[in-house]
Amino acid sequence: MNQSGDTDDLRVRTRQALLDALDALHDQLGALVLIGAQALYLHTGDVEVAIPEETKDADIGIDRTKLHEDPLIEAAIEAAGFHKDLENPQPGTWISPDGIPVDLMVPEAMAGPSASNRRGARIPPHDNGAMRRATGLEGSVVDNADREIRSFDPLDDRLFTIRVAGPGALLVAKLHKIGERSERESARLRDKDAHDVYRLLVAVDTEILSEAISRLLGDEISSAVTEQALAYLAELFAAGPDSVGSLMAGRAEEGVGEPDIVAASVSALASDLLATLRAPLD
Amino acid sequence: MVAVDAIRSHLPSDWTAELLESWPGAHDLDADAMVRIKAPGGETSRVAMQIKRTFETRDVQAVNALVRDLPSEPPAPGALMVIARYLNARVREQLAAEGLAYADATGNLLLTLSKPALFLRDVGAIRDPWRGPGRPRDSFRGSIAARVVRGLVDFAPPMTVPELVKRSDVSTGAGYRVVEFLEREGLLERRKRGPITRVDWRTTLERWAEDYELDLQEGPVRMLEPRGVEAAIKNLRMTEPDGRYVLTGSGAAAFFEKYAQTRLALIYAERPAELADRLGLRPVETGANVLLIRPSDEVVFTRSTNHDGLRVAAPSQIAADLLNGPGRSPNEADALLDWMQSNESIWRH
Repeated sequence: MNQSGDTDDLRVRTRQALLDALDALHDQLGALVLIGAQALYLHTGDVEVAIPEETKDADIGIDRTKLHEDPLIEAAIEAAGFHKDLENPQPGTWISPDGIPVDLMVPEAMAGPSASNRRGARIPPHDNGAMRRATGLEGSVVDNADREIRSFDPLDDRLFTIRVAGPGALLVAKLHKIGERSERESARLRDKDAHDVYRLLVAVDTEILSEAISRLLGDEISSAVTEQALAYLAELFAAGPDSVGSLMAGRAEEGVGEPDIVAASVSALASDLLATLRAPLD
Repeated sequence: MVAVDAIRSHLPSDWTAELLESWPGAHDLDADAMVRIKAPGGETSRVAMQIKRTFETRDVQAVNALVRDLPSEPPAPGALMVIARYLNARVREQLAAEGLAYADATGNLLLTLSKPALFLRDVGAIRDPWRGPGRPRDSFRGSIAARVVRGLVDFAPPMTVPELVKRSDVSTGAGYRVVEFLEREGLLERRKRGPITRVDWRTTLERWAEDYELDLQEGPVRMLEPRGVEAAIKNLRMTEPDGRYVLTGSGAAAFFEKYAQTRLALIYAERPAELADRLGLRPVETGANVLLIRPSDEVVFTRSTNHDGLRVAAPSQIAADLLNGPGRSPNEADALLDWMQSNESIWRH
C-alpha cells in the first residue's frame, strides 16, 4: 500500500502512543478494548483501496465490569508522562509524551449517571475527567477477541495481548459517529469515516459481519445502539449510491480513486448486510 | 492558407485574422505560421500554428509539452493550433482536453481565446477521406481484418501468407487482401512471391484499433462487484474453471505490464447474463467495474493464456480493447504497447 513518509511516521508514532498507554495501564489491561482506527485497520489490512490508512490517535474502550478500583486510571497514566491537553482539556483525552492523543472511552450504557453536557464517565473512585462517555461503543465489550499488538518500530519489542473490538462492534461505532454528526453538525462530517465503513464492508464477509451484529442485537448492553446503527446504515448507505453516507465514501476517493464505484459498492454491501440480517426472520 | 480561411469564415464580420510575416518566439513553439486575430474593440491575440501532414494521439503530448515549457519572454500567443489534413475524433478530444486549438482540411475546427474572448468550433469529416479513393475502404473493419491483424501481431516474421491464412483461420483471398492493403500502407514488407519479412506491428495494431469498434451483438453489460475488481477476478478464477470467457482491459494488462492498475475488468463471454449471475455481479447504471461483452467473433479468445486458472486475452487483444476503452484506458494501452515493444520475446510467438 502506498503511504507517504508523513503518514508512515504518524502510523508508527500513534502505535507507540498506544503501547505507552497499555504500558501505563498494565494493571487494568483486562478492562481495555482497542477501538478506533487502529482496531479497524487490524481487520481491513488486506483490502486494497485508493486512499491510505490514516491514524492520528489511539482509541481505547473501557469495560467497566472488568475495571479495578486500583490503580486509579488518572494516577497510572499521569505517572507514565501523559497529560491533559493544556489549552483544551477534555475528559478522557490524554496526550502522550510524544504529543499523540490517546482517548479512554466508556460506552454510554455503562458510564454511570448521565446528565446533559456531562462528558466524563462517572466511575468512582476514578476521576470524573479520566474517561469519556460515548454512545455507540457498547458493542466493543460484546464483540471482541484477543490480539497481539506490536510496535511498527523494529527497535521496540514490546508486545501486549489485549481485546480488540470486532468488525461488528466497529461498524456500529462508526455508524453512530457518522449518524450523530449527520443529525447535528453536518460540517464536521468526515468523508473518511464513511470510507472506513466501505473499507470494513469490503474487508469482512457479509455472513461474518451479520453473525457479529446478531450477537450485538441479542445482548442487553448493546442491542439499543445496534438497532440505531442499523437504522443509520439503511438511511445513510443502503438507500442507494446517492444517499449521504455512500456519497461521502465516494467523495473520499475523489481525485485518487473511483468515487462512483465506491458509492455504488458501499451501498450494495450495506443492502446485502441488512438483507442477510433479515433473512432468518423471513 | 486553408486554416486562416477557416478561421475567417467563422469569425464575426467585424473581426479580422491576418497571417504574420515574422514573429518573436517562433522557435520555442516549433510554429510554422502565426495569425493575428483582432476584435472590433482593437484587442488582439496571436495564434501559433503547427502544420502537420498527419497527427495522431501519440503526438498530442509532445505539443502539450512545448506549450507547458514555454519561456515567459516573449509573451506566449493566445493559442497553439495543430493543423493537419485530417484529425480523428480521439485526437480532437485529446487536443481539446489539453486546451489546444485545431483545424483540419475537412472542416474540423476548435479555437478558444480568453482575450479577446472567442470560441470557434465546427465539425467536419468523422472519417479520414484520404483513406478512401483507390484503396479498399474499411480494410481494417470486420472480423476478417481482426483475425489477420491479430495473426500478424502475434507471430513474429518471417511468415508466408499461406501460414498467416492458416493461423488466422480466414480464406486465402481474404488473407491476401488484408496483407496487400497493409503493404500499400507501408505497414509490412514481403518478398516477391515470398514470406512477410517485416511488420510494423504497433502501428498496425493502433490503426486497426481505430477502425475496430467493439462492434457487439449487444451492448456491454455494465456490472458492479462491490468488493472490487480483484474480487471479481478471483471469483472468475474459482467459479469458471472451464468457462468460455476471456479477461481483457486493464485487469488483464496487469498480468503483463506490472504498473497497470486493475481498475476495470472487461470480460468477453459467450453468455454474459449467465456469467454475471454465477459471479454474483449486480447491474448498475453508473459506477460499473466489470463490463461483460458478447464478442461478435471468436478471435477475441484466440491465443488467450491460462494464468493459474484464469483465461487472459492475448496482449494484442488487450491493447486493442484498451485503445477503445473508456476514461484512462487509451493511456493504459500506450503503457502496455511500450511494454510489448520492450518484451517481444515474451509474448510474441
